[in-house]
Amino acid sequence: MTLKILLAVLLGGLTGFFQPQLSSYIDPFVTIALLFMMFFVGLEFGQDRELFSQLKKDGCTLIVYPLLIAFGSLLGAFVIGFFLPIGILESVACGSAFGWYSLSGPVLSKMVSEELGTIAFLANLLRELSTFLLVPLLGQSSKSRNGIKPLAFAPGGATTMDSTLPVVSRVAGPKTALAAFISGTILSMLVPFMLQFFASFLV
Amino acid sequence: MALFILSSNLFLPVIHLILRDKQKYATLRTYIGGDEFVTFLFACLIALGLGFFCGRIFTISKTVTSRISWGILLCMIFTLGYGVGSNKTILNNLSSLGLQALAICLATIIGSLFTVKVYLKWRENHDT
Repeated sequence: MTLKILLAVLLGGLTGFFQPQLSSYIDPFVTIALLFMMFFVGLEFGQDRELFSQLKKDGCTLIVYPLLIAFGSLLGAFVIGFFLPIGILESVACGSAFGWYSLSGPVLSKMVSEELGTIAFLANLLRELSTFLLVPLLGQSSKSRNGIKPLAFAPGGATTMDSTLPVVSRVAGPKTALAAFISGTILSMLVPFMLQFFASFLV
Repeated sequence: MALFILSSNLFLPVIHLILRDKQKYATLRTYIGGDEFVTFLFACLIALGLGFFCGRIFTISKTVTSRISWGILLCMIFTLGYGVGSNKTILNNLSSLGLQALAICLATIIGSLFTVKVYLKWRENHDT
């Protein structure tokens, strides 16, 4: 699974490099494909009849996971900031986007500097890409708690709300997918706030 | 998703109040995407809901749906790769800033996995 995903990314990258003029055909396709994916994820939620009654039992833990993921991301970015030339606070600002590259890149390049914006864009893009590759590896064997496998969606951050949700759903089942969706939604809500907060120290 | 739409509209005024800076507020509003993004999110929510009710009413073979969604997923990942490959700004900066970006990316992923793992371990010990 990871191999196929890697192959699709590389093939896409090479096509993009040699045929960049196709982009006007590809952009609308992404929106339609994402809507279809959401439909299929919804289908999976709908067919699992015990999903919501099970969910009520561990309602509180579902809010704990996104907070843990957010804290872990910031902690990781803080620690690695000591070893990077860009600085600790800049590193934390990049990490605080939790994978939402289309927001973090433009906001940081506008508010702080072009260079930091590019790093934030790349770091979060790589996070989304590596989520695609890591989820199949982590999802199948990882520990589950009440049927949810939080390790399967932890790398995704905010992207588990839309783009990486299909992979999570495919690998770890509908229950984990619903937890991932909730976690991604909460993290996406945090991103604009976090970005503004950390960027305001840097201006 | 509905929560998100609410939050993107609710959070921004809060930030606005804290920072009291109209320019920054406008910038953030633009990048979140304004009306277009909200329309897209509504479309996503409707697609998710439609799928949910279809799943409740019809029983569709799991193998068929997973084949189709796997195909679409691979196409989506292909377009993600395409976006990177065709973007000259990304490619030009990849050698100079890519390494730092990779370091931050790995650090955030490992950090997230670490905290979740610690939590799971703690709950496990707590339960027994």
